[in-house]
Amino acid sequence: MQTQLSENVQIASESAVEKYLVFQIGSESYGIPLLQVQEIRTYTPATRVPGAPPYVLGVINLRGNIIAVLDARARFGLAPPPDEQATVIVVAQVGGKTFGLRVDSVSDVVDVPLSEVQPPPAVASEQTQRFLSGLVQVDECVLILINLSEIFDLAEISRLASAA
Amino acid sequence: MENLVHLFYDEAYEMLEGMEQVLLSLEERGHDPETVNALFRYAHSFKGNSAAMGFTQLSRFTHGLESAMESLRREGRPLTPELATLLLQAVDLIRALLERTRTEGDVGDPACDLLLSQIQAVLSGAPTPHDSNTLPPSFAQSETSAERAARRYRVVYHPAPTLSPEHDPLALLRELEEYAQFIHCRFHHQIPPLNALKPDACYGHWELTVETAFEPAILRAVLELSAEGATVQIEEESAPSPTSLSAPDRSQTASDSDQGAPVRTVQAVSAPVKSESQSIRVATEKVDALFNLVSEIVIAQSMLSSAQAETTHERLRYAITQMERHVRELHERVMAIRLLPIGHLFNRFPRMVRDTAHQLGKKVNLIIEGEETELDRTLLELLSDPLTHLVRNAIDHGIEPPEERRACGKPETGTLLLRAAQSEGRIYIEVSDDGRGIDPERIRQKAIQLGWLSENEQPSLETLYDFIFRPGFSTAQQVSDLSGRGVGMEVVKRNVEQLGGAVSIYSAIGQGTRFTLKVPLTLAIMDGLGLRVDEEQYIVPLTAVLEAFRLSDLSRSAPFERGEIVNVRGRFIPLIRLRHIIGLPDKGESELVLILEQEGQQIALAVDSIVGQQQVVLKSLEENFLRVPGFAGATILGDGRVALILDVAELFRLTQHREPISRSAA
Repeated sequence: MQTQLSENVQIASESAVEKYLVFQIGSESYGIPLLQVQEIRTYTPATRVPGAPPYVLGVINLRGNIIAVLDARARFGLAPPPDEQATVIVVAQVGGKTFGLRVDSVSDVVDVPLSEVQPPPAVASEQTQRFLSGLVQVDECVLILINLSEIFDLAEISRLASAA
Repeated sequence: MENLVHLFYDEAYEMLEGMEQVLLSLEERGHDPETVNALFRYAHSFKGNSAAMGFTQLSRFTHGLESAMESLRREGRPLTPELATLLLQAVDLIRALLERTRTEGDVGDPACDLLLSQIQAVLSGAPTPHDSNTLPPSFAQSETSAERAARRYRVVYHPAPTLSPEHDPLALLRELEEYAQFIHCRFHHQIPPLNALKPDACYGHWELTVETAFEPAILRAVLELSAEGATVQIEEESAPSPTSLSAPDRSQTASDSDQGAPVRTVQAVSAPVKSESQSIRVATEKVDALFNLVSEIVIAQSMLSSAQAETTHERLRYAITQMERHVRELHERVMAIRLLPIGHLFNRFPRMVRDTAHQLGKKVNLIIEGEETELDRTLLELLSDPLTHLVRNAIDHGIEPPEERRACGKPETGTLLLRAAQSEGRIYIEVSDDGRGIDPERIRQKAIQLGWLSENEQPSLETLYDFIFRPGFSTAQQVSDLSGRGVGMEVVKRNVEQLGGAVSIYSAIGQGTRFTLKVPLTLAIMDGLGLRVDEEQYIVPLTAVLEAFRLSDLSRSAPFERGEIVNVRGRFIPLIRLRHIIGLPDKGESELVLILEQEGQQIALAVDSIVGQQQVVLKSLEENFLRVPGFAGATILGDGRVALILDVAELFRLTQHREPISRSAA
């Protein structure tokens, strides 16, 4: 019934559905717009960038280009991943720049009817609240939608780097 | 490797075809230096390629051919039908051998030497074989020149002055032993004292007495193999049996060689196009695309080179060494395509100077020097703004109005000099004027006014000059339309430093000011020295490195516990530790110290260890991330990992604003 409905919605207004990439951190599922995602890579150790904040793992070589890799767990104030080798890097784009976001795993691509997205209640600290762009129920689980431009905030990284 | 082999054969066949066509056209049209050169080019490249593949027999034969043909080039000898036939046979022989290398590896054939001696004989004008259709004997034919009497030669062999894995005189001499019996061998050397010894230089020569039935040209060919610059003198000592020297008296009528048709049909060969124009126009995107590709090749090559250590496969190692050289040259050549004379940029200034001077009521004579100095196109573009700014500044602030100049006893017309020159792998660009110069006191007052200095501070001249480049600094009395908004000089410095360059000022009150921009020749690829700190590698530009010491060998001091100083041969040099820069604690005394130099100043940089020298492709960190303070960019190492490249200019700045040593782990 539910799927029936959402299909109808999709037919009614094509633009109201957006594809999201679903990734996991711990037991939670997070979503980022698929349009911003370039590729998914297995974990490769990054080269440390002196002075960068702890959530910047470093830089890696993406086919001849140097990109930064950020750690989603550190960004969200969570403990480091239990098994680093099992993690993956989601390569995404924000404001014309490419970067990698290290997450526990990637599971799915889902259609998210934008009309069903709810603004997030104030659950997180002020620092992390800004990463949330909304919540949506997809099938059985709650998908936490993430605002990538808040995660890859170069102005903040640069500020923290010069303060160090 | 598979592709490499493929490429080798493709190219080899092309070259053979080329040689054939050139020979045919030479025979038909007579001597023509350009065509003869083409023949040599083919033979030479073929020789190099087959040597790189480890096919020494092939490459030796080609080399022999090359030497034998030398008189064609040097003396402009016409290609007689007889000679043409022999040379074409040589091409056939090479082709057949080439086919055999696919399955048998490095094969040779006695027929090669025989053919060479025939060619040599024809060229030296000796009696020619009666049967001009003489074919090389079958490949299975093993008796070579046994019938010919052995003769004794005195051979003086000077190897090329520089040794390399491809050019090992001892290996060549061992090769020679297969061709000649050594009667006597003397090594003359002049080895300098150890401290002046260059490890890759050859300090001696050999004097040999040998007996052989082979032609001297073959001995020469062996010793000259893959060595430019080696000299070989061969003299016959006695001539016991000069009778049957020229050619074997066998007349072979049939050949096992599938290619050995005795009569060649000379086909009409399309004439080599001679009307080449001096230059062609190429879209810059094409050159850039080529250049990017070459950059990728340099990275791939460095991966190959680092893998080289892991293999014991001789031919592979050899090919990689060879490739490395070619890649380096390829890179240099492609770089050269991108170079443009700085005149392209300078040429816009006469007009600008005229207009600016007119607008300000000043008289300025612009002198341009060194406009033929070449530099990378991208550099040229990036230098445009800084230079424009400096030129405007010079007219606006530097050169005085005519009446003021007259009052000072100077000619009314000021001189503005724009000069470019290349030196030590860098480009120097000077913008100088004979204007009023920079008054340090005025800078000081301005700095105090801006709160950068306290009332009674008397900083050094350099520090004062540095203020000029700070954002917000402008000493212009009024903000003019042209300059003096205090943004320009900051941009000049930043732009130039982004290019890995530096700006320096020289000024004398009343006499003028000179700005010197020092920029690298190229942006994208440089020689770097790999440094290791813990598990990570960093790169420092090789041009900045003077020498290295063990830290424990140098005496140190830390005045007021603010920054260390080391004593290097009686000179006290500020020491900074790479570990501090990247926020790691010290590691005891096992560190090395590199002495870096920039603009005559030196600093010591402590590192854990040195990895080695390598060519690195400079990659931007800003393109997808941020500028990282202290680093000029990053590069991709042979194993695909990223290494950060240290910004030497910034290291020098670090030592000038030193903080207490305790600030180690950030």
